[in-house]
Amino acid sequence: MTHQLDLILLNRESEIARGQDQLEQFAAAHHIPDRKLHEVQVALEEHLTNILHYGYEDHGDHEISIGFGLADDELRLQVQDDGRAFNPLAHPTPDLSLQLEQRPVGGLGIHMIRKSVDGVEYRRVDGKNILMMIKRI
Amino acid sequence: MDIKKNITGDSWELLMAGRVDGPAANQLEVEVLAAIRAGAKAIYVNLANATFLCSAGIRVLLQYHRQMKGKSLVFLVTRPSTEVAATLEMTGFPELVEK
Repeated sequence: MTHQLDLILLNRESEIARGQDQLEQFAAAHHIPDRKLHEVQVALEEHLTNILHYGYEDHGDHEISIGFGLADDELRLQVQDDGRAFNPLAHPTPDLSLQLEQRPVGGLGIHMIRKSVDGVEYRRVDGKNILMMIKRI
Repeated sequence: MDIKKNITGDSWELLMAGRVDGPAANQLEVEVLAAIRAGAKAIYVNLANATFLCSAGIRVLLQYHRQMKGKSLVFLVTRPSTEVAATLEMTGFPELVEK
């Protein structure tokens, strides 16, 4: 059986919290363990933040479609936006072995997405970015 | 987010609860700058009740840890929740936590 929740967010900072609230409610309704929820929340937060900060060349309103799907002990979180083409999988992993004083502060969000979920898939379709983040529950 | 403060002499403890997201990270930076302006020699960010920490929050912690350490002052995370500790471990910043 598949459980699905779809929602539309606008490209505003306050909307990220609304998406997180919806994810928490979905997780509670389907008994997703807190630790797994937390990891998915990290991935969602970082991806939405990247879209808002780097995705758009204008200052207009844009819709971001989000789908939470739960089936066969796997949570699939799909995020679709119409911002500039951006494949987070194409970005290098930060060097975590550097001393604290030498560590760059950029690139952390994408690293956190990759480490927080079990699979990430990216497609660019009809001018839209589609990122699927998969978490085994 | 309400950031609670415990001030003892020139030591400041900032307590954050819930999601440390982008807006909360901005609030933290405002409070840290206020503490620095007030002459804090040690700033402790208590994350015992934080449910997650985003990269913007980590950037604020890292930036002021470096700045304070460069002046031989202290800036550390204390009592991180399990979730926050896991995030700091995942991103390679466990040194930000008070031992």
